[in-house]
Parts: sequence; structure tokens; C-alpha cells
Amino acid sequence: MTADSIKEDVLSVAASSEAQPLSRAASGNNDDASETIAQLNQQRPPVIDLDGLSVSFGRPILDNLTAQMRGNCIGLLGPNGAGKTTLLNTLLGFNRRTTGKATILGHDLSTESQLVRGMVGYMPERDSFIAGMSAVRFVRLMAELSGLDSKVALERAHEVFFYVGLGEARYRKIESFSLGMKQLVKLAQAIVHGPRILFLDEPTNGLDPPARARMLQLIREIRDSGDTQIVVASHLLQDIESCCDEVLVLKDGKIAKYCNLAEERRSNKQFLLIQIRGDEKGFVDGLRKLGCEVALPNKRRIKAVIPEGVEIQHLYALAESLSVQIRNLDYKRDSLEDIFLRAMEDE
Amino acid sequence: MAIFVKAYRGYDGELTKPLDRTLVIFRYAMADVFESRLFSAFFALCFLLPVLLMCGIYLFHNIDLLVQMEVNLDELTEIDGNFFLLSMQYPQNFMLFIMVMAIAPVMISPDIRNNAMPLYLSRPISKASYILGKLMVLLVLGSLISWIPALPLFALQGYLEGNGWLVDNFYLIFASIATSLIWIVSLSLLAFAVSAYVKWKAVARIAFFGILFFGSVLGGVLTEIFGGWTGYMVNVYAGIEVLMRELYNADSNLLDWLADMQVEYALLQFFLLSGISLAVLTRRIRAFQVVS
Repeated sequence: MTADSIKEDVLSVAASSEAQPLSRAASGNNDDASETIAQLNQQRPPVIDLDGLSVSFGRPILDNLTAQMRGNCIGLLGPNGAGKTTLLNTLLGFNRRTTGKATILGHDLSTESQLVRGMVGYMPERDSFIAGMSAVRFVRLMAELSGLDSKVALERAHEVFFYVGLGEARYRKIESFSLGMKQLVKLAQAIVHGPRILFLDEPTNGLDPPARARMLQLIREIRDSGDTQIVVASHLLQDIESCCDEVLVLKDGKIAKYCNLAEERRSNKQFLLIQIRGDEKGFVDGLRKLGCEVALPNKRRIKAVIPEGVEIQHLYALAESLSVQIRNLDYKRDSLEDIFLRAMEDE
Repeated sequence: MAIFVKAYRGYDGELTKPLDRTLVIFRYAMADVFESRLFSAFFALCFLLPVLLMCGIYLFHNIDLLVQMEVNLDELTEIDGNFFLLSMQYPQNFMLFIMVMAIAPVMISPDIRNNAMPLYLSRPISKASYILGKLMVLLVLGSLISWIPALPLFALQGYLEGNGWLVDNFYLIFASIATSLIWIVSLSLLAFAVSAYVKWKAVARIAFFGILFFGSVLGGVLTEIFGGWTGYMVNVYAGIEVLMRELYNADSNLLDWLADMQVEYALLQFFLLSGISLAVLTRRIRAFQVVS
């Protein structure tokens, strides 16, 4: 080894050790990290770009949707009949658009639908399979139809079954599977060809709590792999909240709210949820005298936004002076449920 | 024992061409067809007639053997278009009908019943590719039991007969190919269209047979009422019969029954039947159901 090469190695090690604290700093502060991710997301082309998209089946189902979605995992939220599945079907090219335009990863659906479908994985809401086939043969067929060579398709079909946790059951006929297993097979066929964008329609439908947790964990892992961007349609707020970074809320075929969850949480004021026993009115008055914004969502629970300069010990001092017991005290932010409910009310 | 990666990974390798994906549907459908032992046995049985005919043609030209067998040579008919029509095309058409009834209704109705269409159509294949892939199975298997075995029979006859027989009767090759393909396509598309609306395989088969039977009865009634060719337009069998007669240049007195229908109308019937079946099929094969 020459002196120059040793010098180069030392410099590269030094450079990497300099870089490490920076990446640690980024991962150490979640807000900074999510801000960086949000900035990066803004720089790249939108995953889905809707421009005045309307779909009508005699009556309007989707009405003039305009949004640029850039998240790694985008949630489509809305009550039943809001148009979530119709939007997914339209993005898959199943529905004809009445007006407007939609692009996926920069490709226009009207002119490049074949290309788009080559990049897409789709997990439908309803039971969908081909009867009389073993699970692994079914998934292999789906991979081959997506354009994978026969050998590669077989290899990936086996892999994907171990990944979703059905490795031991892969030679069984799909008809013999339980509902939870069928959901996993649907996920397996959607990801077997390594799509660039994955559409999941109600992925946790009919699953028991452990199976649901497993499904959400898989979705998060796929999201974090960075190879695939995900669109999840669901009416379950917790599912969306646990894996999505952006949310499109639909109501009656219109966009009721489109937001980046991290940004939304950051912009929401943090508040204290205080549970007390004793003179509630006096305590609330006392909080207001301290300069707090106070709301009473229900009995014995007080929502308070604390201004700068007011510390927690001031609240304890106030409680002591009024002989009030503070039974519980918790920092809270608006949940997705709050955002969703506000969106439903606003429209 | 293989060890598989338990982690998600994308795919950025080579992709196959669009035609290859149509062939994927064909390959899997073909494999499914031969999972049935009964069908495999039937398929093997279909080759019995060509083999017997080959022996017959050989015997026909072996005068010494025929004399030994005390066959009256004057009673032997000539081997020409009429012979191939009656001894090969007619029986093989019947076998084709059985084959289509056995496998065509099983190909599409299970996919629709199990809601598999969104899975197919969310991938880079079209409805046309899907139908073509399935139809190719019937075209290939149908060809294997109809016009393909007829070719060596023509060749053997031409070789043994000599005197330019093959050149003089070259139209038989075209007649055999065209008749078989027209019969396969019209029956297959009709069976697909019927099965697309019926959930159960057995019911789909009965419905397919019922439509053909009902068509011939209705055709007869319409012919009785209105006369002319109008009634034959709904009788699929009448159409193929007329086309066969024309293509094989057959003597009309050889056929038991012959529809009073011009070739142009028989062709029109074929195109209409195929077109309507395709339209019905295309309408039925879709990724989702619209609930109004």
C-alpha cells in the first residue's frame, strides 16, 4: 500500500466520521428530520398529480380534484362513499375521467396508461384471486403478467411469501386460506414485482388486531425501504395515522383536506390536558389569569394552551392555593381524528 | 433447502415484452386445461381418427392387400374433397365442439366469479390480450386435433396417388384450415361470452349448448315462417355447413341436410356472431362493477 493511498483512506475515514454526527443530529431531532424530508419531497416531482380530475357515472363521483401528492405514504381518508376507491380505480385506469388530468410519477394516465400500470402494484379491497391455484403459482402468474421473467417471478414469489409471513402455506390453494391469509396473499401479489407505487385499498379490512398490526408493520417496512411509494385508501384513521405522511381527505367526491401530517402536527399548538378534582371554575379562572387559553371539552378535563413564561409548577401552585387535586396532566397535540373531524365539519 | 430473503426489495431488472405477457396467460390456461385427466384422455382420443384414416389411405393404395382381403375394388370411392369432408372434417368438427364445450366455459367464468379481473387489468395487459391469451389455447388445441392432422393425410394421399393429385387438390389444405379455424373461433367466442355471465362451470356449459340448440330450433321456426335464409342466420351449424360445402367444393347430394343459404350470408353470420360475442365479452370483462 502506497503512502498516497493510506492518506486517501485516512481522509475518507475522517470525512465519514465528520458526516456521522450530522446524520445523528438529523435523526436525533424528529422535527428537523421530518422538515428535511418534507423539503426533499417538495423538490421531487409529485407521486400523484391531480389537475381538475372529475369522474362521473351518471352522477358526479369525483368532482374537480386538484392536488399534488408527494409523500412516501399517502393516505386517502373519507367516509364510506366519499370516492376513495373510485379515485384509486381512476388512477389505475379502470375508470374513464370525465374531465381533468392525472399523472403518476410524471406519466400522464391518458397517454401512458400501460407504462403506469407496469409501475403499479394494486391490492383490491374485495377478495380477488384465481381459483384452483396454489398461492405461490398465483403470485408467480401475477409477477409474470407484470413483466418479470418466469424464473425471476418464481424466485420472487417464494421470497414474498416468506416476507409476508405465509412461507409455510405457499403451496396451499388460496380457497383454503382464512380472511387474514387472503389479505396477505393480496399484498404479496401487489408487491411481488417490486412496483414503484403501491395502491392499497382498505388493507386491514376484516383483520383481527394481531393481523392488523402485522399488515401495518409490513406497510411501514415497504414505505421505509424507499423503493416503493404507497397510497392507502382507508376509513380507519388509526391505520392512516400509523403509516402515512400525507393525507387526502375526501368528502362527497371533493377534497375536504389535503395535508402533510408532520407539518400539520407541527403547526398545531401543543396543549395540556388537565384532569382535576375540586373547584373547577376557580381553577379555570386562575389559568386564565395566568394567560392560558382554556377550553373545557368535558367534565373535569381542561384543555389549556400555556403561554411562554408559565411553567408547570405555576399550575401546581395554583391548584394548591385552591385546594384542587391535579389527577392527570398530559401534553397533547391534535390527532388525525381532530383534523379529519374538522375537515368533515368545514365542508 | 432454499433460504429466502425476508425483506422487501424493489425490482429494477429487465421486463418482458407485451406479447410475452399474452403468452403467459396462454401458458397458464393451457396448463390448467391439462390438469383434468378426463380432458387429457379425450384429447388423446381425438388423434385416433386421423391415425385410422392414415391406415385407410395406405390400404386404399395397396391393391395387393385389398385383393387378399377380398375387397371389391369397384366399390371403393374416390379419395377427394368429399371423402375428406365426410370422413375427417365432419367428425373433427364434432370433436371440436366437445372440446370447446369442455374447456371454454371454464376459462373465464372462474376469473369473473373470483373477482380476478382487477388483478389482471391493473397490470400492463389489456382486455384484448387477456381474451387472446385464452382464445389461443382453444386455437392451438383445436388446430392440433383438426387441420394439423389433416395435413399429413393430404400429403400421404398425394404421395401415394401421384399424378399431381396434391396440386389438383391443393384447395383442400385451405378448406381444412379455414373451416376448422372458423368453427373454433365462432364456438370459442360464443362460449366465452356465455360463460362470462354465468357463475358456475356446469351451468355455463349447459347455457352454451342451450344457445346453440335454441338457435337451431329458432332458425327452423323462422325459416318456416318467413322462408329464405333469414332463419339460418341464428343457426350457427347452418353457417358452418354452408361454408364447408363451399370450401370443400362438395357435392350437395352427399350432405343429408343443407341450409338454403348463400356463402356471403354464412360469412356474415360468422362475423356477426364473433363481433357480438366479443362486444359482450369486452363489456363483461372489466376491473370493477359500477353500482348505480
